[in-house]
Amino acid sequence: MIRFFYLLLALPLGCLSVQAQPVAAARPPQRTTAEPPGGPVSPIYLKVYGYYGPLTPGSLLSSTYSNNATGGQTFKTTRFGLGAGARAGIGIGFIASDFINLGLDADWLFADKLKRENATSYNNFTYSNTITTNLQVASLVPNITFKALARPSYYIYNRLGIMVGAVLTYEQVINELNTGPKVSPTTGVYRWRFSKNSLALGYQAALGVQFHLSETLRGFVELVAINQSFRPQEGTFSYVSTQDGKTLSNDATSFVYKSGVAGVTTDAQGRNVVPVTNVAMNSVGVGAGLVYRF
Amino acid sequence: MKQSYYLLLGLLLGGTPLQAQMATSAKQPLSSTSQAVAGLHKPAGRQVATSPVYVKLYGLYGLLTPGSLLITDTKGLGAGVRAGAGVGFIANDFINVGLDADLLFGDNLKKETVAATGITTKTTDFKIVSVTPNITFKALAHPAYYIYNRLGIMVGKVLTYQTTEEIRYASTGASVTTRVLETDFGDNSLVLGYQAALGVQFRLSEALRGFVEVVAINQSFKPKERTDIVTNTKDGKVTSTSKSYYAYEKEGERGYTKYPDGRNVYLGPTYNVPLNSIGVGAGLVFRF
Repeated sequence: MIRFFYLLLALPLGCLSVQAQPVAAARPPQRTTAEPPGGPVSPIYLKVYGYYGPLTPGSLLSSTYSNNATGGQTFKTTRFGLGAGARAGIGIGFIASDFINLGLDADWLFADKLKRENATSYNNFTYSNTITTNLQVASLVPNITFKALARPSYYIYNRLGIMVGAVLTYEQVINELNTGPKVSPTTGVYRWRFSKNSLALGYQAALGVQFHLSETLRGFVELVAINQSFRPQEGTFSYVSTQDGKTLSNDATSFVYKSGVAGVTTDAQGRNVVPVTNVAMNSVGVGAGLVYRF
Repeated sequence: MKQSYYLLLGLLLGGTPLQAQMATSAKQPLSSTSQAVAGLHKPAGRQVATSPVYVKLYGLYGLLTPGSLLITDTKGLGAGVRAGAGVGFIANDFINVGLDADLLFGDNLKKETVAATGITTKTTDFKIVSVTPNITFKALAHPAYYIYNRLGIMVGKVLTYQTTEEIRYASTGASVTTRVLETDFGDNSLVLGYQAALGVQFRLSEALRGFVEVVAINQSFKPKERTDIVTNTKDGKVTSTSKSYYAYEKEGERGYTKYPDGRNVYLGPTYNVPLNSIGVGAGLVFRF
């Protein structure tokens, strides 16, 4: 990943010789090359892209636990946190000048399912569970692209975007299985469903290269850093346990996040009150896509 | 903050004639249009700076802390003032490369919680120093200013990360009892992250430029060691104190370990401490 960044950094520096800046009075930018005959003439373009962000700097991490041979409990922290995963998107852009494009992208984050498995045992009883976190977010990204350098077959750019997202799914599910001698196994499903959340606000910065594929088609590859977060507002917690196909218990409670309250455990509707928290879903990854010009 | 962004966006749009794109057709380098950018640095017929090297001084105030570890109900780690200095190199008309170093004086964030059992006051003291190699894309020049954006990779070190939590128990009689928990994260990983800035640089004199920018910073680190000191008092006199030690690793066996120095240290899984900020910066650039 870092090598990719260095490559991108080296391209503009390596291609242009260091030179004293020419003496000239400041004047507005002007065209230096004509569009090829029959080439695109509209300043509007469309794009389709995909992105995979495996790194999640600053995101929430989690750990798995298991018993070891000496009776101690070992842990292992997951490498990636919330926000890791694929994004697929489309966008529309407007070529404002030789240096700047303005655009609006829309993308969908199919976050990697964060799975953790824990297992402990005690006196021949075994307790194991799998914790799964599901997250899906749809975002709109108004953005501005700075085009820095052009070569016959490619140009370098960077892009800044403001991200405004809606959390479509955010839930954490624990499936547990408890076994022991002379008793039937029991299963339990704990589910925290965050049904109402704030907007997922944030920003993105991208450094990339766009290259010529045909008269109307361009390809691009970019390194993208995304910082996005939201605050859960309301949710429900449910617990269902079964043994031999029979339901042992089936409970559900609601909770609400509130700021500036202390010593209050339930609100007027009987919901549990918990302090507000940020859920960070950052990622750093690589994107690629196609641009169609008219 | 939003107003500043709109201002910058307005400058970009207001000052840019709309025209068909030439960069995507990309038949030759943009060197001739770049004279507009260059012109800001070197007006014709006057004694001007000639070195491609510049130094800069800047300050930044991080207002918003999206996604940070929340300390108060609205603000998290990362809020506060950064002061820094940098050196840069004008690689060409479109790109500068630079190296900045800054010190974050984190806001002394304080949170007070009132409950039936007493009043809890939590304060956080946080300082980090960061080095930021960066690349600046200069986009558009006018006689008096140019617009740029900058991307930087941040590598920092935690200088101080301490919290103090004081509980003043609700008293039934005349005496006042308190419990103070001082937590010192004495050893931490490097603070890694990145920053993106959108700004305008304007001319002040032959050798001096000023700039104003909106900066978004994403940084995080992982604590490695922590020491807790608990002090209980009654009517101002210390009734008991205790110390406990924690260590954090990516993987290991949870529990206490006797260290060679005699400390009994509890080992647990590591975690991320995010300290993001979005703020406004300003500074001066000296050219030689």
